[in-house]
Order: sequence, then structure tokens, then C-alpha cells
Amino acid sequence: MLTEYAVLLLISLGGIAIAWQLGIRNLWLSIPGGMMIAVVLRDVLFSTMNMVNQRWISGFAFFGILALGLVVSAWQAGRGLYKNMILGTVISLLATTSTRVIGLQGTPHPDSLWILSLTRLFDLNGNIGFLNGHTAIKRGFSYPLLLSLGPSGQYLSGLTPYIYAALGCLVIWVVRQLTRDEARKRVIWVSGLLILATFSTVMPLRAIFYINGHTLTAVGMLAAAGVAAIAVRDFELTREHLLIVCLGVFTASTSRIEGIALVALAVLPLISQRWIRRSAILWIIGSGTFGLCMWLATYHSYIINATDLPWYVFMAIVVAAGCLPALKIFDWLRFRLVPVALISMTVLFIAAEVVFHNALRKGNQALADNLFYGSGRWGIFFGAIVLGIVLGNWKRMTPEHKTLLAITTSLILGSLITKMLDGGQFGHPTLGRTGWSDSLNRMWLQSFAIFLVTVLVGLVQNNKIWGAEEISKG
Amino acid sequence: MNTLKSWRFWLINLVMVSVAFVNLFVLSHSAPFMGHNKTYNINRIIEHAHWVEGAPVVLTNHFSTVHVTNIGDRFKNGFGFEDELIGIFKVKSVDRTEDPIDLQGKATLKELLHYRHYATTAHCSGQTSKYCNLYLIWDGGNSAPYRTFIGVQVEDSMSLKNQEDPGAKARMVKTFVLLDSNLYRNLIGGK
Repeated sequence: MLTEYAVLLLISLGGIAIAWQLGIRNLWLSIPGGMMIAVVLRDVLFSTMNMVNQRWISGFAFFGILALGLVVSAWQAGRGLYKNMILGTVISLLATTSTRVIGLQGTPHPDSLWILSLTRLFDLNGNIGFLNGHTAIKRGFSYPLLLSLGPSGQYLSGLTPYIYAALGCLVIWVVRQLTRDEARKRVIWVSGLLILATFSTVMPLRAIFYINGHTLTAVGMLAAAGVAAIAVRDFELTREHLLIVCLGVFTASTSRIEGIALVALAVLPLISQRWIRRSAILWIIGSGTFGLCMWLATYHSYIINATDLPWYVFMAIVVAAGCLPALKIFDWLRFRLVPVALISMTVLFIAAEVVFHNALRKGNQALADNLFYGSGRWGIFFGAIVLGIVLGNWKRMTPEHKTLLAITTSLILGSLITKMLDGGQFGHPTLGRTGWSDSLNRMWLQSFAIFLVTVLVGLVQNNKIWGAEEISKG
Repeated sequence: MNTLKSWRFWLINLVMVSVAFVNLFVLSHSAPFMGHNKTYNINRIIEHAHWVEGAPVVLTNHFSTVHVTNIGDRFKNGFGFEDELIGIFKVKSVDRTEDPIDLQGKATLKELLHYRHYATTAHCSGQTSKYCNLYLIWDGGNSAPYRTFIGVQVEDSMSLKNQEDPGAKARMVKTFVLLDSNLYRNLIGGK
């Protein structure tokens, strides 16, 4: 038990310290920022050491770098860092206590057992060549890698609630950034209502201890979407925000196989801006393509094997292809990426519904049952989201609200299409089955925080709700 | 204009409170998480879960060197025994070339269950359910850490999946056994 306290504390504080060194100094951002830095370090070190068959070194190197970051930052930093450290300490202690002392655990699910099996392989420094099948690739990379840092033979049980807390901190940061000019009482009131609707619903609570990569993907996606909305509003992508969006894209791309597609949709409004630097586009897209290729190469994935290319050639092609949107000759398309993506996905979805109407009939019913009739354990949460969006500020829409609405719509369509493709690659497109454990039903865990932020911003900015015609002032 | 006079303000409050009320008190819901957990060892968690893919893990939990034969093809007459888990949990060898040996009429499940056993399920084909029953049976009196398990098929029995879901329609399913080769020799002879 003490090992787990120490490990999670080091991951938390080391991540926060390195984030501080890199310029991520906001209290609420430091927790998710540090978490995502830990993800990048763990993935890169493990993959690198795996190439030379010295996987056992990766754990030592990971903890060594975190400890070094901690010592250097503690030496240099002032009181600001200590506030972040205290928050990180409290969250990591609470997370570990909840699982190790109180004994709380996630709902049992076969996917969790698959992830724990992968965790065991990493813990044993076993042969990664076993992971070249269709199943392992669907269970993610970053999340089992981090889970394997627990005591020998065990998993890091406090990590899952810690990631959830990081998501909570990220929501607070994004909301504070996006509503900095709004009346505080509006923000508090709407936040209270949304907290009530969210935590009366089973699925958002289930995600706290549920062993799966969804919440880690959600952290990456919200980081990317939040920064996109802030940057579009400010006509500026600061160095700190660029780092956050890159970390978010990397995290989402390496935690779930659909992550790269969904996070790409989240950053589309940002990379389609006319003012964004081309180098920033390269960094953002490169974070996703590099992370995904590194994962596929490490797992000896059947996807790379099917191309008959060496992994480094595959990686070079994918990363280079990802750079194309930054080229000037593609600017005409890049500036229109958001409407093009939305229209393409809508057409694709409708076409699939028409062509495969018999195959999809059952899935459509399951989708409705899961989202609106309680079978998916979402209660009527999505009813509240729909109404919240409808009552948002539609007349005088701000750039950030417009961006969030575009991202929300893209993510809904993107989730439906990725689910269809999951079955569709084997010739049986589907929209899932009734029940909480259906993969599409669980995929909403990855985007529900973005939906909540969209609703909150829309409601806070709609002066008609607050009985004021003037734009609110803080 | 006053906030309290805005119908939109009251609507959004009413809706959010109603959503919380319906979620908490009207719709049926299961517990979001569970308590009183004391198991953190991954191998034990998988064994306790009676996971449909868990057979390789359970075998290697109990024996240091495990060989398995007569698994067959899960899409024909055999049952599922997941390749990735065989590698991760270090099952020494798995021979899928031959189908499970048919023991129907030669030995009953009831007789075999006198020995130490672990009941679970496995993926299979050729029936309405995609799940078959799978029992891992070995001689608890024998302390040898090296074992060979032979896949055999016995008479159909009540689906173990039904026991997990009491509301489900009761049905008989194919039943396979991974039988310790020592027991097989003693009970059936040969192999």
C-alpha cells in the first residue's frame, strides 16, 4: 500500500514540477498538465527502451526524470509551485486512499480484465510481440502502461480516480478561462445546476473507478478542445496553450484507438484558423501521428504488418502525411476544414443509415435506449445537454461558443462513425447494443466533459436567461 | 429586466432539477462502483472474475508449466483460448490441431466435478449461444507443478452465463472440460 502512495505521489508531483518548468503554472491546469507529461514520458521511454529490448530500464528512467524534475523545480520555484504541489498531494493521497483503504473499485467488465492483462505483461517486462492481435490494440497504450507502475503483480489502483480528478481540474481551468469576462454568479449558478445533473447520473460516477482508458482520453480531448476555443476567441495560441494542446493530442491518440480521430475533430477549429503559425500546426498534428505510430510500432501492430513496411518507414509516411495541412498549397482547404468535416460526416452518416438501414435498425434503437431511456446508465443526462444547448446563446454567438458547438457536433458525429467503422471493417456496421457496457455508450465518457463546457458557456452567455439585455460584466 | 422574471431562467432550473430527480429516484440504476475490495493482484482479480477469456490465466495461476491440447477451432468444434493471454501469462504450449475429445457417454460432468475444479465459460460456435461452459479440472492431490490439460467435451449442461444473469432464459449449452492428463489417463485411459 505504501508503495502505491509513493508511486502516485511521485507521478503527481514530478508531473506538476516538470509542467512548472515548461511554463504550465496555473493551479488547476497543473494537475492535468502534469498527468499528460507523465503520459508522454512513460510512453516515449518505454517505446525507446523496447526497441533495444531493455524495457526494465524504462520504469527507472521514468521515476528518475520525475524525481529530477521535482528536485530542480523545488529548488528554483517560489510559493506558486507549492500551491500546485499541495493540490497534487491531496488528490493523489485521496485517490490512493479511496482504492487501497476504503476499497472502492470499478464495475467489473471484460475490457477492464483485458487492460489488466496488458498491465501484467508490462509489469513482467514480457514480450510485447504478443500484442500484435486485434484485441490488444483496442485496449490502449498509455493507460495500461501507467497502471503497470503499481506494486509487483498488482496495478496502480489509485491512478484511475486520479485521472478523473485531473479531468475535473481541467474542466475548472477551461471554464474559468472561457468565462473570465462573465458575471461570476452566473457561472456559479449554471455550474451548480450542471454538477447536479451530472453527478445524479450513473455513468459519470462510474468513470471514477472504472478501469479503462476513456477518462484519460477525455483529459486529452478536453485539453485540445478547451485550448482550441480559448485560442479562437483570443486570436492567439500562446506557448503554454500550444504545449497543452500538443500534450492533449498525444494523450488522446495513445490512450484509445479512436482517440486520434476524435481529438483531430477537436483541434480542427484551431488548425483551420488563418492566423495560426504553420509550425504550430506541425507540432499539433505531429503529436498525434507520432504518438499513434509509436504505439503501433511498440505493439508490433497488425496494422503496420499489413503494409509490409518497416515500422520506421510507416511512421515516417504517417507523420509526413500529417504535415500536409500545414502546406500553403492546402490553405484553401484548411480554412474550410470545419464545415467540410461536418458536411462530410453528416453525408457519410446518412448514407450509412440508408444503405445499411436493416443492419443499423437494432443499433439505432439501442442508441436511443442507452442515451434517452436509461439503459446506458446515462439517465436523462443527454436530455439536459440537448436542452442546455438549445437554450444557449444562439443569436449573438461568441467565437468560443461557436467553436465549442462545432466541436460538440463533430464529436457526436465522429463517435457514431467510428463505432460504425469498428464493426464496418468486418462488413457489419453497427451502432452498438443496449446496455452500459456497449463501446459507443462508453465512448460518450470521452466527450461528456466537452458537452458540459459547451452548455455552460452557452447558458452563461445568453443574457435572456439572466434577464439582462446588456453583455454581462464580471 | 430581472433574472427572476425570465422564463428561460426558471425553465433551465426546473429541467436540471428534474433531471437529477428522475436520475436518482425514477429510473432504475445500478451502483456506479463497488466497495470492500481487497484484491489488487492482477492474476487473482482475473481468477475471481470468472472471465470468459480467463482460462489460460487460471491455469498458470495454479501451475508453473502448462501444456494444453485438443482445443480445436472455436469457430468449428472447439472453444476459445485466447492467443494473446497464452503469451502474456506464459502457457508453455497450446495444440489446436485436434478437436476436443468427445467423452459424451463415457464420463459425466458430475463424476469429473469430484476433483478440484474451476467453472467458467468460453467462446464457441455451433449453437444459439456464443458461450459454452468450460471447466478446468485437475487432481488436487497431485503436487506436480507441471501439467498437461486435454480438451474434452461432455454432455451439454445448464449455461453458467444464466447464473450470472438470473433474468435470462435458462438454456443448455455445449460443455467443455480442460482435464488434467493424469486424471484423463486414470479415468478414461490412453493419451
